[in-house]
Amino acid sequence: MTRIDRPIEEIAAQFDMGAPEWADDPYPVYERFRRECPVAHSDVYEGYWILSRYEDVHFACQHPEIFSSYPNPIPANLGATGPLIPLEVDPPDHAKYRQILAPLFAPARIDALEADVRATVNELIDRFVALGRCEFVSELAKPLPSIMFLRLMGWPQEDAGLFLEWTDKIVHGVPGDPEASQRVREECGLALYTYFAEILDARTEERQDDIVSILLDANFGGERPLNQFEILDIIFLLLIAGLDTTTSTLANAMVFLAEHPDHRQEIVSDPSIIPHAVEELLRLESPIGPGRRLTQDFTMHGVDMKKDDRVLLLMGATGRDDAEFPKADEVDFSRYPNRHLAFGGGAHRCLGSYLGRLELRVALEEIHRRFPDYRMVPGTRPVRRLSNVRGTDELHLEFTPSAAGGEPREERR
Amino acid sequence: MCSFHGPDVFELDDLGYSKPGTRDVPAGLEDQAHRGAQACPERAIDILDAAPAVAEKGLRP
Repeated sequence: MTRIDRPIEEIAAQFDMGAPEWADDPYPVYERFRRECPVAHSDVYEGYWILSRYEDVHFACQHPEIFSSYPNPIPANLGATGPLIPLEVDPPDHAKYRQILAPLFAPARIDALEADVRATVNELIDRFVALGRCEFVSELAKPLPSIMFLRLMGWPQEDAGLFLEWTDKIVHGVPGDPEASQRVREECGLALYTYFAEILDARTEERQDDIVSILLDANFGGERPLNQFEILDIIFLLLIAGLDTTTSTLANAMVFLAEHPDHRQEIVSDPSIIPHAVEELLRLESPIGPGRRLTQDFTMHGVDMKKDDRVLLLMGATGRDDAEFPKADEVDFSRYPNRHLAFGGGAHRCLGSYLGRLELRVALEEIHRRFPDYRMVPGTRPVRRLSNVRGTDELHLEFTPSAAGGEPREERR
Repeated sequence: MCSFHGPDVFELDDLGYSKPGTRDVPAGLEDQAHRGAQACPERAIDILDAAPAVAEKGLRP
């Protein structure tokens, strides 16, 4: 009997996004959750419910009074010392934090980064384009968001490697080993906080034109300034929410495009469709799997859940729900409407969605301009993972080599 | 997403949110209004009195 042929309750009971079991292709299992068991139960991590239908997950996102965001991840602790702000804060305090943070990620501020994102993507491409091959994840998908994060924060670029290592371990843990994962997360969390604390001390002494300085001068709901712990918790969240999610979505998109030359050709033929392609590729894998905690007893589809039970919102399953997306397993760059939940929904809808979309769009534009005929290196296959953020650990591409940096910069629009 | 599909109907504020409130859709922009409303992942946009716009559209050559 193959793994997928077991009763769905049995699959659910052992379901662990951190385990490698469904890393290559979770979608057949997701489909069974949606169809047979819309409120499934896993026994892993002290037990949690799994919602997989678009409508149900959307409902949970829009009803924080029933589905509290504290704690958010399953398992609960990612190595932070306090609640992840504002992710793990419920209304009404949530809005007071968002009011402080929203301007930092507002469209005008993010749009101003476009030239910087484009230059960064091109510098990264310059390093491998003459070779005619690359390992896409380590050479482009990972460095891009961490370089942009450090630039946004105004911190030294040479620390990019440190941040990559810490966030990688915090988000992914040690696959299949919950105890080791917890240990590694606590270690890296401590390292991160130590790093942040030094910057915070420096900026407390002397402000600079950076996000920490803005947070030091910010006001919580007109009541008080933020304290140091709040600032550290906010920065911790920006880091773990902003880096791996973008890396994963970009790498997942490239896995799909490398495996589907017809869709790749659509982009090459008409790069103006890239913003639509970005939305469709976000929908296809909707990589995050946030959790909630019930504030009251609650019944869905005849299943009684209890106050304080944990609930996993399986975003990846919502993107493939035919009830919301006709022919959900097919990729259609002209899909409309495309109300995917890749950025979550409700009050906690991703704060950095403009930045994420900008990085994804510009990366796809430059990739398809500079090495448009990429394909998977024969004999290799992409290394996929599920975890809290579904992603790709390795993707070996080859293409017709071209001169690094020598290519005339084609100005778009 | 609403302004992506209905740029002339849905104006975003400095933080990237569509301005709340009820307003009239200028003639000729009904299609943008419908497309923008339909695209909203939060289902936060209602088209009031939609029938005339749809009927009018149907009558056009």
